[in-house]
Amino acid sequence: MNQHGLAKSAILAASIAVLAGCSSTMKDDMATDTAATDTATTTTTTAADSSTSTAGVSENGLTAEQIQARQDAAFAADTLFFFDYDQASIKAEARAALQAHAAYLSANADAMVRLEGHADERGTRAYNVSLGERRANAVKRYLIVQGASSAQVETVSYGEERPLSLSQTEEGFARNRRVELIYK
Amino acid sequence: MLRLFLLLVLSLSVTARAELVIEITEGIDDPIPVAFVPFQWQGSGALPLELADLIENNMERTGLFEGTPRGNMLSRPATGADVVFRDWRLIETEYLVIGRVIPNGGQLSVEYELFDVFGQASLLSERIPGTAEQLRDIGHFISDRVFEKLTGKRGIFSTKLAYITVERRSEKDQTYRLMYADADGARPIPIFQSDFPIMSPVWSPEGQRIAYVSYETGRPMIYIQELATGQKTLVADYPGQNTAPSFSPDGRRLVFSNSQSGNAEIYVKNLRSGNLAQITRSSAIDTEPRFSPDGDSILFTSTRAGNPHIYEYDVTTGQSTRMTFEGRYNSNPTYIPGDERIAFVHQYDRDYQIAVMTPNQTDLQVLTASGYDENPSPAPNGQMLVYATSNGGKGVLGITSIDGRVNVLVPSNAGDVREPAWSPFLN
Repeated sequence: MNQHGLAKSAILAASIAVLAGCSSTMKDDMATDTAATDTATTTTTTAADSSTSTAGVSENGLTAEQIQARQDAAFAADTLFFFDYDQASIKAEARAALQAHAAYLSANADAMVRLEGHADERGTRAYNVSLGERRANAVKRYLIVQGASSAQVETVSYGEERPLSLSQTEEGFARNRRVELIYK
Repeated sequence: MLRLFLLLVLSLSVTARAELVIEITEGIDDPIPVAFVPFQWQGSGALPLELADLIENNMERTGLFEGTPRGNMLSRPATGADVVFRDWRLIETEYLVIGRVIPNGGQLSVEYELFDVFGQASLLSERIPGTAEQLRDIGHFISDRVFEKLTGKRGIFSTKLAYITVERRSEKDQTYRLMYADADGARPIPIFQSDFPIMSPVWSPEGQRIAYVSYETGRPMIYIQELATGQKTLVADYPGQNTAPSFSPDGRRLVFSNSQSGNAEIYVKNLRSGNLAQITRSSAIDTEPRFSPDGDSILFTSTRAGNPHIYEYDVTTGQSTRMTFEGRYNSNPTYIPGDERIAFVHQYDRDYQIAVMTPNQTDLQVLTASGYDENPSPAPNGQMLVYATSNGGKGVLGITSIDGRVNVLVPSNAGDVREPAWSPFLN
């Protein structure tokens, strides 16, 4: 599946927020939120091709239009999520896009994502692999809490091995402290 | 500390393959003057290597010695009978290294002699048989012998370095190489290459194997490669990330970090039986384990107190004790052979620097100053550390003496150079 850029997703941010519902009361620190990870995995059983049906309501209670809307929103949403230095907490501004991805995954049990965790170059390399993994795991937990199944989400950390920016500035470091969401 | 800025460029470019050019950025203020007289060649044609240059470069790189300029030499003896000590006293040379290379059938032999100029005495005299192709090895051997005679410490010039180079074309289009080179950076050879990350090379204690992390399957797994055969064995493909390997001193076990529990913990794998034992249990990151030389303890990095700090695991009791309290980020620890101190990456407030410290003491000493220094790996004689640093935005290697008085930069023209690992003694 194609990934869309930041500009396009910004245009659609408002509709995503509406679709996904308001969750501004979510805790900031998703890294500590582990309780719900394994209990939310049975909510989606619909096959991916349900979105091609032209009428009626699918097993998960969504109309084809609703599923299509979720897909459009997910494809338009950000796939890059940024983090603070040496932190693995999801930022508030990442939630709307993550909710769109979770909604799409929830509606399409065959859809799979790979979350690639990254760190900036500061600090040591092996440590940064673990830090990037924590970031990917925080995003995974959030997607699951929001309705995705754990089987749909794979994580890997590249630590500081694949920087987006080679600039040794705070701006460059900030670009590199990220999780990339990639549909498989 | 006085800075010398010797900017010593070694003539490693005998072949186009040489990648590392060494530059001394900081040295001691009073290195010992030693004359390295060009070795006499008694055969026909030219030798592929000038031994006196190689030995002089090796000795100068330690920061302890300074070669006498050739132009100042009043004589150029090749044998002990030719040495006139007054010629060397006059130019204030304290030690003298002379030698000659003698054809010997299809092979050759190298004779060298080390003199104490003021004591007017021969300290060392040897004859080494070999071939023209082995001249570089012979030069490193002579360097080891001279260094040990003058310092009482075993030389490391015949040891090797393993390190990673990365050629980057874009974020996801990179070529990683695991390199094997002489301790002075010469003769670099790629021993494994991948379009996916290669990380964390470490030597086995006998120097015949290198363990490393490779992402070639799409996630990090640990492999051990035999240097003699190039044969590579997958040893850790457990669920989650398999990272930061290190051998036990007997070479039979591998300690590493794995996240199959959902969180990075330290595990020890018995390489013969395949048994796996988890040795840390915390909700924090536990990684970068290193066995002590006696195998009784394991240093590692943990965030169990919030920020990364160094801990030591006692193999007998199973208890972990925090080692570092100063600064906000301490990681990447290693023991130092023959030294009670440990080396690690230390961030006090901003810069990441290589530091040494006696466990449970407050003698923390910072050795480096680039701001992006990491991955300290001690030479087997405990006198120097090689580390990864940054120069002009590019990863390069640095070598520092264990007292921080001598700092050598090893700039590269081969992309980013990172994660050096100094071999054990190999002979």
